[in-house]
Amino acid sequence: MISREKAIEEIMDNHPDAIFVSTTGKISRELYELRIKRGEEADDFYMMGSMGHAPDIALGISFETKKEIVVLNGDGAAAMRLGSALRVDNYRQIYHYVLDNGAYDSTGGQPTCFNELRATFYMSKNKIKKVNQGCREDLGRVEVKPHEIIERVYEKIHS
Amino acid sequence: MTIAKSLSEAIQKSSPYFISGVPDSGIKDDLKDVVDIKHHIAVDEGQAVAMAVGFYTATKSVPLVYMQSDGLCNALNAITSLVIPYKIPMNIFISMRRTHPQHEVMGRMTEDIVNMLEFEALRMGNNHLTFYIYDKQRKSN
Repeated sequence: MISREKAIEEIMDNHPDAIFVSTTGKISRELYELRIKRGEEADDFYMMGSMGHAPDIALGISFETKKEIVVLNGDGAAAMRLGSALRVDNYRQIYHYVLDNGAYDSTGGQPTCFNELRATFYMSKNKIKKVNQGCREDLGRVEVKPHEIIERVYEKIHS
Repeated sequence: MTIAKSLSEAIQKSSPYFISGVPDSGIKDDLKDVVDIKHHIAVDEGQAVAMAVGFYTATKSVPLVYMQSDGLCNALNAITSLVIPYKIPMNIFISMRRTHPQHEVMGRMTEDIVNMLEFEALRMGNNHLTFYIYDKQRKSN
C-alpha cells in the first residue's frame, strides 16, 4: 500500500485540468500542500467541514460545466453520506475517488464502518484507493479563506 | 398564484438558475409546477443545499432550496459548516409543519433556529417561511 499523499499525487497527475473537490480533514490539507509543493495554483474546493458533502458540491458544479471534476473523498465521509457517494457514479464527468484507510485519520485513527460497506462500493464505479493511515508530522493547514476558495474555483471553472 | 410557484418563477428569471429540495405534502400543488421545470432531485435536504453550493461556485447565481421544517435538521450541517463560512448566498424556502406529533417540536423551533443563524427571514403567509440568506453579509465583504 502507498501513503494517502502519494495516492493524491497520482490522481493529480492523471487529472491535470480537472476541478478538484476534496473532503474534510487531512485529505484537503494534503492536496493543498501538494499544490504548493508542485508550484501549481491552489484553486481546488477545499471543503473544511460538512463531512460527506464533497460529492454533492461536485454534482452542483457539474450542472454548469463540461469540465472534468475529481472528488477526493475518505472512507469515513463516503460512509457518512452513502446516497451522495454512490449517486455521483452516474455522472461521467465526475471521478470519485475514495481514499480508504479504514479510519477517521484526522481525529486520531478511530475505525470507520466502511468495512461493512466496502462490497457495495466495489460494485459501484467509485474508485477505491487503499492507502496507509497516518500522515507527515509537519502537515500544515489550508491557507486559503473559505470565501476566497469560492472565487478561485469560479475562476478555474471559467478559465 | 401560490407562494412556492411565485418564488420558483422569480428564481427562474435569473439565468442560469437552480432549484432543488425535498417535497412536502403541504405544498404538493405548488411543487407540481416546480418539478415540471429544470429541477434537481436530492437524496436529502443536506444534499440539496450542498449541490446548491456547487452551483453557486460555478455560476455566482443565487440558488433556491426548498424543504419542510423537519428537513431543516438534515440541512443544518451543510448550512452551518459550508453555506455560512463560505458566504454562499442562498434562498431557502421552508414550508411549516406543526400539527402532527412528529412535526411539533421542529415546528416550534424552526423560526428560532433561523434567527440564531442570523438569516434574514421573510415570512410568506401563515404557513411558509422564506429565508434570504447572506446577501447582507456579502455586501459587507
